[in-house]
Amino acid sequence: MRPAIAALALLAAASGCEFDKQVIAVAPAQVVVHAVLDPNATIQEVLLERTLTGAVTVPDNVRYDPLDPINSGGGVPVAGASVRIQGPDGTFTGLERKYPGRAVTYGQGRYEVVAGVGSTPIRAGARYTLTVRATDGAVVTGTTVVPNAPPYAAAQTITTFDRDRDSVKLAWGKVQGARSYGLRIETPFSAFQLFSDTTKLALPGSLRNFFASDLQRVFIPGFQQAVTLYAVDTNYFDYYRSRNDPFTGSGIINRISGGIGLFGSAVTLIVRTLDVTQQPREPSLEGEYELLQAPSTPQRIVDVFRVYVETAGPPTSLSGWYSRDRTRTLRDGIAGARDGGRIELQFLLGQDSRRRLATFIGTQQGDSLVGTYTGQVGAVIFRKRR
Amino acid sequence: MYRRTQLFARTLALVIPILLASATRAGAQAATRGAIEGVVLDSASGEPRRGVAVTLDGSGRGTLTDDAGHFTLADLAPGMYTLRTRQLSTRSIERLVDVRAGATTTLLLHVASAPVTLGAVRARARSPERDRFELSPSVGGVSLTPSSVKNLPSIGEPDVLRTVQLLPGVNARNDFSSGYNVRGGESDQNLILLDGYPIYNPFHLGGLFSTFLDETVGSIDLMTGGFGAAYGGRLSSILDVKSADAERTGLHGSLGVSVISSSLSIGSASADMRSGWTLSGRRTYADKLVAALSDRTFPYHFSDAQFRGVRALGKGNLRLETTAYSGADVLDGDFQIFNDSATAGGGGGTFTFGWANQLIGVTLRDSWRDNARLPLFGAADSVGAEQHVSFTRFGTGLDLADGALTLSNSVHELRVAGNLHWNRGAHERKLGYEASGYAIRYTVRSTVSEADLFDLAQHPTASAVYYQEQWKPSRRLIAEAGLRMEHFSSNSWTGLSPRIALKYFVTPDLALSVAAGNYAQWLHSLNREDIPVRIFDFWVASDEFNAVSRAQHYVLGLEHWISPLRFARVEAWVKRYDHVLEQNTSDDPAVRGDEFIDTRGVSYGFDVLLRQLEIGPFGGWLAYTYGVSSRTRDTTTFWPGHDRRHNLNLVGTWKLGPRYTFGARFGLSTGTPYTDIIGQLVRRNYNPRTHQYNGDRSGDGELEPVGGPRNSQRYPFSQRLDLSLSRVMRWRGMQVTPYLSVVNAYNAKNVFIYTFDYTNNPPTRQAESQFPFLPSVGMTVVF
Repeated sequence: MRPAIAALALLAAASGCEFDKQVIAVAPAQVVVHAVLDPNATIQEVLLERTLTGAVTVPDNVRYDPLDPINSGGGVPVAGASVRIQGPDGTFTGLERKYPGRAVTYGQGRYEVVAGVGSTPIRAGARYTLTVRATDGAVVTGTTVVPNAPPYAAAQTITTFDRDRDSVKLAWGKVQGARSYGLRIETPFSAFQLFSDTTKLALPGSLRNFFASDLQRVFIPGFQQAVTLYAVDTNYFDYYRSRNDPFTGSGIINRISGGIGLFGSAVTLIVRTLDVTQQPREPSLEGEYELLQAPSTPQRIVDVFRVYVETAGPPTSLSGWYSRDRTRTLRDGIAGARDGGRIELQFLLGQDSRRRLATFIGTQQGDSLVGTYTGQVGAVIFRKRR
Repeated sequence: MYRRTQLFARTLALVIPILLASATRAGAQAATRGAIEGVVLDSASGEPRRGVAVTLDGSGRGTLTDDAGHFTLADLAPGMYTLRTRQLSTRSIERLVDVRAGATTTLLLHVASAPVTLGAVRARARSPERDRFELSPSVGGVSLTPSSVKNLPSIGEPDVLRTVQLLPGVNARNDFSSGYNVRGGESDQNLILLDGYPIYNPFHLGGLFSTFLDETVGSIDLMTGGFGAAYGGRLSSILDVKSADAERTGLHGSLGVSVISSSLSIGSASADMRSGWTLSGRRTYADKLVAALSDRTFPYHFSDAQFRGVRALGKGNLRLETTAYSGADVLDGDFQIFNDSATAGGGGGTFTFGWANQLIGVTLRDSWRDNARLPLFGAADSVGAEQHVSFTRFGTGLDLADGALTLSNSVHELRVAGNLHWNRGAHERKLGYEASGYAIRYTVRSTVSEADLFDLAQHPTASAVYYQEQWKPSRRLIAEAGLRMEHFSSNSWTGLSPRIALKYFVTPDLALSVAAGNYAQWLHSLNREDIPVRIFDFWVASDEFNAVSRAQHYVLGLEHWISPLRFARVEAWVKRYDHVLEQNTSDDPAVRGDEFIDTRGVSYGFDVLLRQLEIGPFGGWLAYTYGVSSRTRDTTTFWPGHDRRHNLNLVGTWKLGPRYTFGARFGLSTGTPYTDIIGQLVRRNYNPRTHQYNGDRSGDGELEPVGGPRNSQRYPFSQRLDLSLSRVMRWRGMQVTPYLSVVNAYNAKNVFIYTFDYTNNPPTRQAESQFPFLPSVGMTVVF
């Protein structure tokens, strides 16, 4: 019996070793390209980076910076590459912009292609070829045909959108060369995106966002949310509709030669900004508040805000907008909750739920909200105006 | 007799002209004689029953069992007999027995003492393994009894498909899958039948449990290859699960309680045992328990309900059998449970994710042993006929975020099938047909956005006729040849599938077998073998874009019966596949016909089975399979995800006296292939409004794995020991059996998948475990 027990113990030990975290070998990196040509953009961005192989540690606690998207976005940039886009008007060169006073690595991997100064740089309906030569000799190429839509020139307007009553209804003409049409709605949690092969869409105000981690609603009262509709080519459509599954690391439809990624094109057709509201749900709480007293607060953070009961609880989800001055010219979003009598309001930077300016925690007392900002001393009172 | 056969023939004539033939009496024909032998055991103790009278109705033949419970009835005319047992202290049981020319039909009968009012009769018609060995040249067959399943260690409760995974030639991808691969075939190549009716995706809880209710199972037969012409529609295997018929008068049943679910089965048989019914149900209750004991929500449950009814019509052997099954998995709830109270937009919505099976089937079955004459086929010693009508539905649906994204797939199959089988002298013949009409729908849409993302509707029909003849020219040789002609409407495909099997008896207990056959399959799953989890399948049919899959089986086997209850079998097999369809992950939703990629392949290997039949104090088996599978797509050849090279299972149950039963299972297998992740990339999301990329990893950008060469690596070997112990008690006239089961008794760490981290230097890999140490308890009450 003892040998049998010993054998079983050995088997268990042998298999148990697999569950320690193991260091593995660094595999060769591949070049990753993200490049979308857009006739409405004055600067075409080409992002070049390498697949992560563990050769270096990439930081994940850096605030994302669109001008330094690779370094701040957890990537490993490909610096010093030759980037050329060849089209009907000749060959355009992409250059990494230098930022005096910044670290030498700032902006690496982001190549700006400025084509045809003073004129439309990218022609709708034309074919373009991207050629990238990295300093290590890697060559990446791709080709796109830009959907043949006229440049978008309409002025952006802000439309009030009652999510209880309104729907976003979009209709547009068929665009030659468009493989599909993309819809993007900015939300506080994650952009809602959809491809449509038809030329009309109707989105109800109650729509939920299956791209958001908690599947929140798309339209949140108090927020100003941009809706963009655009025509895309096949490369764009295939790249963003596919993904690598976690088991095989395959699935992305890759039309780049010599690397992975996207060289595609998109042409904006419709842009709207919705000022989202809803019908009253709890008038005793909902409404517009203004700062009444902040005697010991070292700084005035919020002067006026409006709160909506986004979803009845418990806990009750709250949302809204706030302004840092009473003119209300600059409005940012609020995400919050009421759990029992405790009210928490997160004053966001812009419309992004991941970035917070301050958090107010308090209770409702009559027509006022009384509490404090976290990390600061002194009571803050907001009185309901209407 | 004449009236009855006419009635049955008229029934058959409604659905198939070829079975119009009415069986009429014919003059006596000379025929080789047959015999019945068997053993009568006490159902409670498993000990032999001495002095039981065994008689054949209407024949004047009978005998008494000896000290070993053994009996023999020799020199019998071929045909169907009604065998009856009688003893003062036991309940009488009745069995239909088919006596074949030149063969001995073996029976194993369990009788219960008359005063006992619970679990009174647990009878099994025959010892199927020996029967198969002596009477059939077919290869790759394994039969299991309910006790084989019941006494094995399990997760929560006994499970048919978990037990099937332990048989030779069968490979389970991992602990989390009830799906299985047979002799190198893909997991959608297994035809699963409940009482002869096809059932799709008989799995619950992401594959952890099968839909078969333990209390309802009467027998389990698995054919792992080289099966006869009577079976079609799948390339790799047939799993035929037959329901147990009620065998006691009065209302009786069983109640099962486990950590997973509770089940109840009730039934009753008529006094003459010619009709009976059982009704069973099961439901998990974690959702109810969580709701009752806390303010939290567990939004998942599954349930099953099954009905089985049997009724003899008239005084002969004409039987009407009905089976109905309904089962569903439901994962539904409110998004409030996901809500982060610090964020807006978290609550209020609902989601639904579920899949369900429904099945109803009716069978009319008759047999008569008097010498008969079939108009088209001449005289026969005995004749049997079956007619099946069934409707099967499998559907799955996902509604994410109140219609923001909905996905649904359903397959409906209306099937009629029948056969006429008869024997004459050394020949057994079967002529049959099958016809199925399918309705298949697969849709992906955003309901609230009124956007159709994918929509596929198919309404094909499949039809088949087959003829199979078995010939026993001498005591040493059995030959079986069959031809199956099939037609599938969607692509106007017609194919011939010849099947042949030979068995040569070197000695009465040692036989050499060879078998070969062609097989076809027109329903395909969109699942990918490279993905190690299989929740359910999305079914689509062959059409003008996707060919009917074909396979050829070649099997060579050797079987030796070491003793009446113990045998060893070795079978070597080769399978070739054409048009095996693999999901195309790059298919364009606007293009029909690119959903699959055509591959071809080959599998070969051998199985070893050493089995001690589950009679007496010990039963179990050793099953070892060596297999190699490869698939070729265009010019690239790769190992499919289920290509496991070595697979060993040791299974045993021991009766430790009259009360205790101990069960154990040890499995050891080499790893399956996987694609190594060689890096990660950050997907950066283009924003057409800002013309920039929202690409941070915690936001719009996502980290995605980058795979290396397909399936070029293999997981390490895995092993697991499961144990169980049950005790039979009696309480107020009921049989109460509590049990303890331990899965992965020594907590072996078996790799399920690897996760990789390439964001740090050095890069690392972490294994995720399969089942940990999992104890469970339960109890069954038979009343």
